[in-house]
Amino acid sequence: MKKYDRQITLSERKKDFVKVGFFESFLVHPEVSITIPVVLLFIFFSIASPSFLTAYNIFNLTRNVGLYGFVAIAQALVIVGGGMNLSIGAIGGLAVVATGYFIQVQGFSPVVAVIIALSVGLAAGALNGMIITKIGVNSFVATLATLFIFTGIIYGITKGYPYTKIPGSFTIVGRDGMWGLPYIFWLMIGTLCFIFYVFNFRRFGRWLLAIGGNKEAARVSGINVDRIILLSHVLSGLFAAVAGVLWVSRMGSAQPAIGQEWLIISFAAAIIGGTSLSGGSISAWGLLMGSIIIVLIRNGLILIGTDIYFEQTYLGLIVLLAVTVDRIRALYYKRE
Amino acid sequence: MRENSYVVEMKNIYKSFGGIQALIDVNLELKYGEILGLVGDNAAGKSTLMKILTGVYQADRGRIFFEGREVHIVSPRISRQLGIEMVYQDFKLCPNLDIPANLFLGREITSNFFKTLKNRQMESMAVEILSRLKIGIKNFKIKTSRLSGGQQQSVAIAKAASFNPKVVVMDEPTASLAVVEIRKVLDLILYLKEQGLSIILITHRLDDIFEVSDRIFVLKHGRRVTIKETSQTNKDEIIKLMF
Repeated sequence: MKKYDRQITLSERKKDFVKVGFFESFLVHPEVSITIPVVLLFIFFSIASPSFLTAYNIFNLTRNVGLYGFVAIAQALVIVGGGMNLSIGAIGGLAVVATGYFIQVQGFSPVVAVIIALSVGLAAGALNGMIITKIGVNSFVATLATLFIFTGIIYGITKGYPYTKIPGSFTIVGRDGMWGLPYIFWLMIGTLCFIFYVFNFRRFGRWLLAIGGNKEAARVSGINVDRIILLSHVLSGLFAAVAGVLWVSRMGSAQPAIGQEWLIISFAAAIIGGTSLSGGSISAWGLLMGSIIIVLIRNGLILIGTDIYFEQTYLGLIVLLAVTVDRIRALYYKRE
Repeated sequence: MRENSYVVEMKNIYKSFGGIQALIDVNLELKYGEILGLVGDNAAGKSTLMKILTGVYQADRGRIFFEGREVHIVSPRISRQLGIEMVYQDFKLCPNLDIPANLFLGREITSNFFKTLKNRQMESMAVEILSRLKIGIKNFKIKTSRLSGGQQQSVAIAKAASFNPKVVVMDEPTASLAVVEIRKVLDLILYLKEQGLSIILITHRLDDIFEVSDRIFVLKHGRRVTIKETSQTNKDEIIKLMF
């Protein structure tokens, strides 16, 4: 009997594969549609600029991919459940300030400061989650409010000045690497493997996907929807804080302005990577590709000498393109 | 012994929402292995009564007995644990998940130690469930959003029926389906009855009720009007009782 079932499984999979045509596969598998432009951009910038394909530039580039990857993960974790987190940059900023403050002002060891900074991220994420699930405010409004609350705290504590007395040992993770690529990049790859595992092999991931797909169906299936949403915001806060701490490690100083540009990047990388804005889908590979594409465009545009003052415009256009593809994808599924 | 007793008894169920009385001292008895048709006009209290049975709402007053034992169904989870499942008009499936993920949602099979999802086991069990219920979906790995309405409802019914429930409550399961698909869903309901399940079927379609039910329970303005053997009544009489 089992053998029979197995045969059905495999033959049906084959049928599904055959049924999807070349162009349709771009819509059905976002990983395909995002990998091709990454390869094309890579080839284009390699040809257009001699300094693109240098070890130094690749190291720098992948380090940024690592940092933006964490930011994208933080955003994708709440988008997948049908929400959003506008306060990602501010949570990252809080972690930055906590790291700098406890190292420089309180004289704590970097390890303790990092633990406190990550705890601050967890707590900030938990606050977002509590406001959304306990008060019943939607995630846009809740995290818009906390964005201002957290930003105010950041500038209230620092008065806008950075903490610069960060010990050299703290920058090892942010500046060094192994096998030719920075530690930050490897950390992000490890985290993406964890994300893949969570969404394919853990109940939490399966339930968060279910909530993003149909919250009511998840509820009547016995899933504690509020608890899962709360947990997704806690994790979002944690990963935003990880990004913040890594940023300090890379810069060698704790700048209060870190995180201000994360909002657009987090949405761009997540959505380009196939995280549906309406919730219910996430792809670890897509998040990696989304982060690479953002970094490639920013880095490549500088190298080929475009006017960098227009950078925000380029980013905005990329997001617009990404949401358009997301919309087409949604319509395609609806039609089916 | 069992033939004479009820699997579910709801006694003097009272429920109000603000000043509106939704249910007024309603008694409902469901026999083992029967299909009970639950009919009534809009706002008669049908769905509210069933939501109380499935733990979505709690009654203000009244008692519920399950297999002769008094139970307090305070959440859908408790109702599921007792063996009461619900099928909804709008399917209540996750469109972004495939059939196995939907069938096992909320009761996924995991490994003992690491609690890792056993996806392959769930897939092969899903194939078995679908073939046992004679649900003809060839490709069970596609997302449920790509299934037809009838297929989605079949999956929803399979989800409710496949984990050894004792009672399945169906709230307008055919309301949003095409005629051909209605036939398939009714056949599935009859098949479940053959398997010994007790079913409460809420529907506006009296044709369906007369085709599959053993008894018909009529609610009107939150009160029980009557309960009749299907073979001893007709559509005209039921319509008169409903309005």
